[in-house]
Amino acid sequence: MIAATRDSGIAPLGDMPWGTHACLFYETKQDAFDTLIPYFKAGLQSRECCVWAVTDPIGEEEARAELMRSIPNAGPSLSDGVIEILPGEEWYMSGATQGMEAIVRGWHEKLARAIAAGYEGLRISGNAFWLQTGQWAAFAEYEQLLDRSLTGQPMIVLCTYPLGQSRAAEVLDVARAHEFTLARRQGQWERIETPELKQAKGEIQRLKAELEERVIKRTAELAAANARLEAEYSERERVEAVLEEAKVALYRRVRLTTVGVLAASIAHEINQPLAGIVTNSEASLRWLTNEEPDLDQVRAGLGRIARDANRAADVIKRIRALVAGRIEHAKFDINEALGETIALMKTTLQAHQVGVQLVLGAGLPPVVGDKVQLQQAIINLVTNAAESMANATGPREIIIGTSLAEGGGPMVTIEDRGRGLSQEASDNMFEPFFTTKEKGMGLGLSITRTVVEAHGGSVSASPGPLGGTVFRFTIPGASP
Amino acid sequence: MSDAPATVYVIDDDPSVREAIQSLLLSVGLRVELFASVQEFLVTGRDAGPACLVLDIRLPGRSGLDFQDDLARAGVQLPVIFVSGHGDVQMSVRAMKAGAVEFLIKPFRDQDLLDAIQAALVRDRTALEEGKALADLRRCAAKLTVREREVMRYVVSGCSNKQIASALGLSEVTIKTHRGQLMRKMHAQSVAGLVRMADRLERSSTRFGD
Repeated sequence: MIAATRDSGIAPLGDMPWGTHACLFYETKQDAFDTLIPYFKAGLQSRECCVWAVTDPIGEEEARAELMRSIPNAGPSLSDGVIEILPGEEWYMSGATQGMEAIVRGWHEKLARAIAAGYEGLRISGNAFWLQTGQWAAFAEYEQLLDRSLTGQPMIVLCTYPLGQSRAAEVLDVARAHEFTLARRQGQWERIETPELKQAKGEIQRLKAELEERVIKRTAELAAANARLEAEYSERERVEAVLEEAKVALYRRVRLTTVGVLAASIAHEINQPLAGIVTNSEASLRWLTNEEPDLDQVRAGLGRIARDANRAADVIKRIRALVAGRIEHAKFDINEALGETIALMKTTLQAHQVGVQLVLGAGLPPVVGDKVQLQQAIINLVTNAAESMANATGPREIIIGTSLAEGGGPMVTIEDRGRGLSQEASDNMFEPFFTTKEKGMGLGLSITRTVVEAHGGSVSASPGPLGGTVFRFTIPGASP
Repeated sequence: MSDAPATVYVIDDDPSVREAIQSLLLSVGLRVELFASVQEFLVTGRDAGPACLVLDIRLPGRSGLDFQDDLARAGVQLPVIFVSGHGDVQMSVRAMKAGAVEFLIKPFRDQDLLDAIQAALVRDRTALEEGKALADLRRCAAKLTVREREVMRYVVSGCSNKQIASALGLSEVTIKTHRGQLMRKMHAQSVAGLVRMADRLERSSTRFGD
């Protein structure tokens, strides 16, 4: 791993990052050597290739001698080309003929060779050749190109300028073109930072603080949003739980309602003959105790009493059959269950002024399951069919049939002559709480489906041939 | 009129109940007519004599309660006794509000039904008599001339002959003559009696003056 910062070898600079582009103003030749020799020494120690482009007033030989004198193993480094002394005039002149890019490209070629040879980077000292030739515009262009090309490269450039030959305006321009400006005068260091740099540093500091502030703020915002989301989530969970509870409660209520309808129907069925019996016996007593007893009337009354009592007994018998079927997973005949259900629904059907036509198939296999539950499912479908014809003007009839389904089990069909189904109703009618009725809870058909599916069957609906709707359900048959 | 035989119309779709009620009512000497549905009864209609209805509230077709509304709307005044297999409070309140005589839950005590029927027949008899009296009154009022009706309106509002004469631009003597005529035609013994008659005609919503 290449170190992020390099030892500059120059005390006031200390470590500097790759890509640094600094300049040095020197007063005397000695001032230049005092800076450049430790600069290159540090470069060699840091396994960097070094290039020293020398120009007047420093000669190539002078530079070589100075290196040999101050750096112990400068000789091999020089002969191996690890440190190279360039005749600056020649080097920079190429810029005048081939453009400033050529000089910059030349530096980068040297860098590429250094990297290829296994060195960590390139350390350069350039020289202000133009200051002496007056090509000031070219200088500015070159420095900018170089500055831009240094970004992200393992390269360090230190440009040197003789103070004695620079005018004040030129010093300022040079300084502005570099990140750092060093001045070595009479053995004393001075470090100058450009106002832009200062400003930039300040700006960076400010931005950093601002960023931190923003990060803190954003973090707080995110935390708040997170808390809000969590609260919403738990609220949602709570509402869902409440909804689920309400659903369960409603299901229970509807079950009770169905049972309640059945009970009311049974009560009425028994109450009617009972009322007949009571009134007939009272009437008969009156016929007996009248001044002129009418025995024929008494006889007729007693006959009616016997008939009504038998009728009540029949109802009781049907209920007993229903209750006997209350054993889960008992085997029963679907036609029988259907007949019982319709007999029990007589009053409801009369109230709706609806007739029932039974078309029962023969030789159907028995069904295993909860007879009462299935009868409730049938009640729901028949009630539904009756209610669908509430405003019907045509014949008010429900055709209930049984037949053998393709799968071998019995199929029950319940066809009404009601108003038929809307698309919306077809799509949703088996869903809980879907209803087209004003007072419906929307659970009848959903319960029917639950019951039928619990018996391994399926229920569906389609438009009937007579304009109404046909509901059909199938249940797997059992072996007889 | 009150001598005409009383009839009880029984409308119940259950033959057991229907026949039992018939036997009971016959045993106390009432005339009974049985119907299985409201439609059947409507086709036959009621007799002239006093009558009442014994109606099952949960009949097929139009329910008993709706039928009661229909009767009221058609102006048929027939006292109704409801019998129901399972009456709830709401039903009975609605029935009683609509003018039912009684609301009995099956099975009911025979005496309760008979008492209710007696009360209903008394009510119907009174209504019939009132209806007859009103009809008589209307017949009388129909014999009045336009002028006599005019004068009667002034008399029953408490005007003196002089006031009426000035209001109509006639002589007091002429008013006196009209007044005597209309009192005679209405069989009124006094102005107070005439005021009562005018009130009854008014309440029966018969405009007698225009």
